This record gives sequence, structure tokens and C-alpha cells, in this order.
Amino acid sequence: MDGQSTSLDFALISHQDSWEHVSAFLHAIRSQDLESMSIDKIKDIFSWIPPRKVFHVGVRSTYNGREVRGAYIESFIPPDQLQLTYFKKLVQKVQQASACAVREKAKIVTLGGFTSIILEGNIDLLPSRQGTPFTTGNTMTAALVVKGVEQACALHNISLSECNLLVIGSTGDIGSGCVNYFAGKVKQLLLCARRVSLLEEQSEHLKGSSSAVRFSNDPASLLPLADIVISVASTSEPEFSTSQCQPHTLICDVGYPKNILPDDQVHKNRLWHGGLGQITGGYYFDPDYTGSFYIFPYPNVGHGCLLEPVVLAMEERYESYSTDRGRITIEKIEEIWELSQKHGIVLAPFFNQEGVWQF
Amino acid sequence: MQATTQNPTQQTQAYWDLVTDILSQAITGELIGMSNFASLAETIDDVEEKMEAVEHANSERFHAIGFMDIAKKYNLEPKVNLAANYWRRARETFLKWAKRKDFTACLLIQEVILECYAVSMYKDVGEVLPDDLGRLFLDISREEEEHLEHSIELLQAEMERDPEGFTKKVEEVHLDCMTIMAEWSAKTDLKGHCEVCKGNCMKESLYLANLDITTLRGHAMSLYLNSLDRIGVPGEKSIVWMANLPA
Repeated sequence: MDGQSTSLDFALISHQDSWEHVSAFLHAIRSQDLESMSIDKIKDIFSWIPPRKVFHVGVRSTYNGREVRGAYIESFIPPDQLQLTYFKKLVQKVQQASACAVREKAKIVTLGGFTSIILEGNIDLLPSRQGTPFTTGNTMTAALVVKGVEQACALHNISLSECNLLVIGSTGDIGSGCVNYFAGKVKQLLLCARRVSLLEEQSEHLKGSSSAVRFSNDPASLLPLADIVISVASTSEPEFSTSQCQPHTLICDVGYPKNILPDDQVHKNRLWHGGLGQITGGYYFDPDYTGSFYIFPYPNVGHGCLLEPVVLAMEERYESYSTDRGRITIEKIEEIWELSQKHGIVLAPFFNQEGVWQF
Repeated sequence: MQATTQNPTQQTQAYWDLVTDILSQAITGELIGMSNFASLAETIDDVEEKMEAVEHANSERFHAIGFMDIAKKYNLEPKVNLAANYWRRARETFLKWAKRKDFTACLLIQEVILECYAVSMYKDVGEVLPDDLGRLFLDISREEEEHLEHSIELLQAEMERDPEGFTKKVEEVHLDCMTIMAEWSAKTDLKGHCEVCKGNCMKESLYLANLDITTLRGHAMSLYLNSLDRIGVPGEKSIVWMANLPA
């Protein structure tokens, strides 16, 4: 498609989580007649590319058969700079990507992965939005995480009410949404985050809940106590390993890049990449980069944060559904879950780096 | 990049050799620009625009004179070689399109591609070179930026008139000219010595002035892509073109 698009139902702003994925994408658009580029050469070029639309996305609703059409905007944030130490540079990238989405006249824009973390959901940091609603997509991610935990427990015949649930990154937006959801549903909530003051505040807030609460800023002290782990920390590489957990522990890794290093076979069918949904009505990319972009072991799988604006577009609800931090309520989780089910966006099958779960 | 804090008189011979090479590239580039604008004047039928092209050629001439004068002041002897490897090929590409009387393509080569490199690299260099040397590069960068801005406006209108045809032309011109510029600005000269630097490739000694080729090239490429975005070229097209450049 040439020229400026007239209007898009949605725009997805995101980034790649590893240099291997960056390389796969660049080589997909680079002629095979040319020599392949080493990761070092790619590193020299990638971060200088201004954010831009790289392909169109079409998603079909199974509810009414309607197709919503959007665009994927790559922020060109280097995977090894997904850290708050690069704050200024990253904010600039997100601002440029947002300006690109506004220029494309998207009716709703989501800030996927680290692009919302860097703003802490504060969309006021974005320049002239010209009325375009921005969402972080975090409510949808939280919904896919909590429903995934419930389903994994059912598969393993585990009773939630007897479990200690550890949330790593519990004071973050998705983490606190999960904590709110499971408060009163599990035996004990184990809270883990970097800032103790925020953990104290969160723990205080949960005092009325029937679940016991314990917190620490040291994940190693809590991992052995957990029956279920939800890890939603912002790390540029895995910082925890499955061997720190008990053999029976269920582990949901929501990190992008991933938080957990699978270093044993015991958790093969107990560790999964959470926060992912499957579009049963199917999706397509134009140009077709599906073979080299967001590759999963199952077809039509996508990250929750990118699926939220799709669901909202299908509902023609162009609104800043998820903003700020700590505002994901149980009601909103249930609402977005219900809407996604209605349009055929369901929980993705369970899988991890080792492959799909097998029983 | 940060300005070098040492007094110019305290710098080493290697540093001044580097500055000489930088000035050699700048003078050669400006004279190529001057020649291109003079050729461009021949492609234009409109009298006003013809005069404007001559004026631009004169402006590039003044830039070259400015660089030559400051070289003299610092007792530096830059090498000017209009037949040098990369610059000659850039000029030949321009002439190919000028022969076809393709004003738009000529504008894209001179006012977008070459100007993006000039604006960006002069700025980076100007920020680290001392005193009036640095100031001269920064002043000329600003003037070149005006050329770039003017051409973006003209090309936006071309894009609106025929989005598909215009995008195709940008792609063709990009392949023709950006390929040469990418080879020239790669970490090592991909098609051999540039024939402008006096000794070894100056990229190896850029660190003496707190510069490095990755950043210089990155800023130029970024400005070029932003300029294409502003003209209205679809981002999903320009990213593919960039990914297919030599690296």
C-alpha cells in the first residue's frame, strides 16, 4: 500500500526482545542475493532507525466476521537497551513511535511490552496525540495471565485456595492487577518487587483480604515457598531459574524479554509463557512477515498487550482502556476477558522455550 | 559527542591529519554539490527555478571556499579530488538523472540524500572541532538544513500528486545513490580507498576528535529516513530499502 493510510482501526507499538529476533526480521526483508548481516553489523545500524510502520495487520472476529485492520509500528529499541538506565533515549523512541501512529490516523494505539513500562502507563508523556486514545494493553495481558493460571491449576489438579502464589514484579501494573485478582482466592500471596516501600504499601492495602501476605525484594527467598509463580518483572535477560522453585511449582513467565531460565526438566510441563492469546478467527500480516516475526509454536498467537486494542476495535470502543499504574481491577479483567472470548480471542495453548506442554 | 577540550595548538599531528581529511571530504562534497546544482539548472525550464538552482550552486561554492579558507588559516593542505572513488560515482548518478531532465530525481539525490549526510555529519563534526573550525561546520550545517527543508516541501507536493509513481522513483534513486553513500560510510570503505583521505582511511582515527563512524553514519541515516517520512514515503517501504543497503 502506497501513501498515507486513510485510517487504521488500531496501531500496535512494540519492540523485539532479542537480537536473534531482530536479525530474523531484518533478513526477512533483506534480499537473499545480498550477504547476510552479522549481529554486530545489525547492532551498528538498528538503533538509528526511527520508529516506523513495518506492516499492516488484519484480524477477523468470529462473532460477526468483521475484519479490523491495523498496523505494527516497530520502535527500533535495541533489545539490550530494555532497561531504565536508557530512560531518556527510550522515551524519545516511544514518543517518535506514537507520533507515527497518530500520523497513520490510528483510531486506538497500544504501547506494547517495554514501551508502556518506560512511561509507567503515563501517556501524558507522549507528545500531541490529537485525540488518539492510547492504551497499555496491560488489562488484557493480566486477564490472559490470571485465566492461564486458573487453567494450568485445573490441568494439574491443583486447588488455588491451598496455594502460595508468588508475583515477581507485584507492584507493577500487570503484577498488581494479578495480585488484586488472586487476593482472597489463594492461601498466601508472596509479593516481590524492587522497592520495599511500594511492597509495604501493597501489603497494607491487602490487609482486609483472606489471603495471608508476605513480601520481600529478594526473589530467591520467596521462590522456594511458592506453589505458583507469576513473573512479570522488567528484565533484559532471564534473572531467575526454574531450579530455584519446588518441583511441583507452576511458573507463568510473562516477561518480554523472558524472566525465567528453564534449567531443569522437572518444570517442562509446568512453566509456560503467559499473557498470550490465540485469535481463532486468524490474522495476517501485509507484507507477510509471519515466518520471521513473533514466531510461536502455535498459529495465530499474540501478546495480550497487542490484542487489547484489537478487541476494543472489534467492539468499536476506541478508548484509553488501560492507563497509569495499579488501576487494573477485577471488573476490568473480567470485562476484557468476556469481550475477547466473544470475538474468538482465547487463551493460547501452554508452551515454553522447550516446546509445547505434553501430558 | 563532546567537544575536545584541548587547545588546538596542543593537538598532535595525527589530529591535524584527521582534520585535514575531514576538510578534504567536505570541500570535495561541496564542489560536487556545486557541480550538481549547476547541472540541475540545465534540467529546469522555469526561469525562476533555474536562477534558484544557480544560486544554490553558488552557495555550495561559498561553502567550499569557507572550508578552503579555514584550512589555509590552520596551515592545512586538504586534498580535493572530484574524480575520487565514491564522490565521482555520486556525481555520475546525478548526471544520469540530469540527462533525463528528471528534476525530481536530481532533487532527491542532491537535496535529500547528499544534503542529509552534509547536515548531519557537519553538525557532528562541528560539535567536536575547536573554535572557528567547529563554528564553520555548524554554520554550514544549518544552511544545508535550509536546502533540505525547502526540498522536502517540494517533494511532499510530488508525493501527493502521484504517490505510487513517486515512491517508485524514490526507490530507484535510493538504490542508485544511497548504495554509494552506504559503501562510503560503512565501517570500512566497502569499495576500496576513498581517494580523498591522504593516508589511511580517516575512519580509523576519528576517535582522536571524539568521533566514530557508526554514530556519524547512524545520525545521517536517521535524518535521511526521517526526511523520507516527512515527504510521505511509507515507512514500510523505506525500511525495506534500508535493509537492502550494503553494510
